[in-house]
Amino acid sequence: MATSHSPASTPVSAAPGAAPLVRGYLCGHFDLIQIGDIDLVHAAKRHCDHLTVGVTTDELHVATTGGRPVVGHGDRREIVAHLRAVDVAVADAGQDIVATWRRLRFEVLFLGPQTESDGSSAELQAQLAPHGVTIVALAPGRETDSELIRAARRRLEPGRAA
Amino acid sequence: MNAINGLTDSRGSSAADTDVVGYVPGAWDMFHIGHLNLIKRARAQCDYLVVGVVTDEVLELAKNKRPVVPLAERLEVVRSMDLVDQAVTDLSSDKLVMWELLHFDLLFKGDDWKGTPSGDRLEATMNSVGVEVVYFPYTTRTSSTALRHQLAG
Repeated sequence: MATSHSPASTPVSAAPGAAPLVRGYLCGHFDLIQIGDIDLVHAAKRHCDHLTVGVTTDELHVATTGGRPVVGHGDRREIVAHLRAVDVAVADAGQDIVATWRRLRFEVLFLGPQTESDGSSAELQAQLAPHGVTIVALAPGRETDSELIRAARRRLEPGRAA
Repeated sequence: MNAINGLTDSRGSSAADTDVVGYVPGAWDMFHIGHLNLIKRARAQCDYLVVGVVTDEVLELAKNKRPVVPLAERLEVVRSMDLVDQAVTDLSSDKLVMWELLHFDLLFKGDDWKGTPSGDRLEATMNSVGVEVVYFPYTTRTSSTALRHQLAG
């Protein structure tokens, strides 16, 4: 079971002689968790053995979407920590990606559709390639059928790409 | 105790004969921390937890408003939580219907039902098939209402 209080450097060990476990890292907002978020973590878990999810701090949410999250960071992180596909949930304050890598030592960095579209993926690639990190861009998750949530998202996150 | 014949969870395992099976029905609309805490409490009291997700139609009849998130999505979100062994559609407000399918030992309900005529009827019905009704402090409705207001702007 995942817990949001685990140290970021949870040791991951493979059985002797087995292929080393692949650790992955995915960062996201996970505000009012819905099927698109579930799609992303499931897609990420298919590419790694141990998945750490970075949940954005409220400040980073404001900086990247232009609005405050509906659900505060602590609650968002606790819910993500209890997703079956997630091994560990940590806070992501938007720090330097190499610093995050030094802390978590992942082999795969997952990019949500947002990062792909804003052009920062090439930059991340350049920073992480020397450390042997593979970057995997994930397809967007499904959009919720809830009209109220879609409308609220457009209003509350004006800076977010569609 | 009991067996859930032919019913398996999303990981392909099923309840063992000796497991205490718990059932917690709810709307689970806009899944939030109150829901997670309810699931944690319920899971701590049983070996195998089945979460029932009430249909849009039943919720609309009971509360005079449709849920924000449709049934299929509410089911998927609940099913992806690690403490949930199985998520099913709650087919009827008559809990005997679900008991026939699931043969649970414990039924978890909000304590807003405790001591009410419907609560007494539910307890009598459930006790007749050997099920204990366990009440929890019911706080998720307020959170859902607050979220709904926040989303409506």
